[in-house]
Amino acid sequence: MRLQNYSILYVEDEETTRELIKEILETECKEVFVASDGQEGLSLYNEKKPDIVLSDIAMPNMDGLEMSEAIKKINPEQPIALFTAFSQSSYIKRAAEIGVATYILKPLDEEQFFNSLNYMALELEVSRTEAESRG
Amino acid sequence: MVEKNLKNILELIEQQERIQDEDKFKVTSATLICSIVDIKNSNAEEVCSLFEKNFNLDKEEFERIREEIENNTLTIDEKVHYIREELNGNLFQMMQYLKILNKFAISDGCSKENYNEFEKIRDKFLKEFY
Repeated sequence: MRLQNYSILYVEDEETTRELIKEILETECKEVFVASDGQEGLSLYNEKKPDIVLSDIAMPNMDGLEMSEAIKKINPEQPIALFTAFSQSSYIKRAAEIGVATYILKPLDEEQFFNSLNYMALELEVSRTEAESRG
Repeated sequence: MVEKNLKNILELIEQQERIQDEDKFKVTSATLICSIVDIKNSNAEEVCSLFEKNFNLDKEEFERIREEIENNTLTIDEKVHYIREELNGNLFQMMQYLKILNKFAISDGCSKENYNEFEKIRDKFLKEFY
């Protein structure tokens, strides 16, 4: 699986979910960094510069959309995926405006989840190869 | 917007000369787009008005390909297979193509079902690369 070459920042405020997803991610990814809200996520992003960011939307202190917006200001090309049940279309609209194009559907389907992460890894690989070929 | 994006598809992948049948490519792409935006393929009138209203599709161009879109009986698997063949299974070109489909999937009015459909199409294109 391609994910073995990539590090992931995972941001989720709900402890049980966070531990569960973290365990799943650790089986497939090179490195997993975990934060419990957007503020912590942003600070960890600046420190670790992960390849992929994965986040819940509704969180205290700084929500997933605010954090994504801040990260996109730092790196507009940063691949970000947000967990969503698509219950609030305003979230999706704003996420699209920010430049988030990948969503992890709730409730979680593990196969679909990894397909989405692998898609992001492929996007990264293709854009890096393209950048290298341009010199 | 559909027409503009279909043109973008062709421009982005720089395949104009290599696409065997440009009309078939556009119609197949349009029907794929139909499955990931909120329109009902079975309701021809609704399809027409939504394409005109929301996508600013040139009426003449739309009329020209409309019948082909409505009568397209290919399954999703067959459409994906056809597009993949036209893109020579090239990962870079398929990623460019999927980026455009993704834009439609997350456009205004995006629903869980539409996004789910986009994911299914995406994974049919890329499964072997995962």
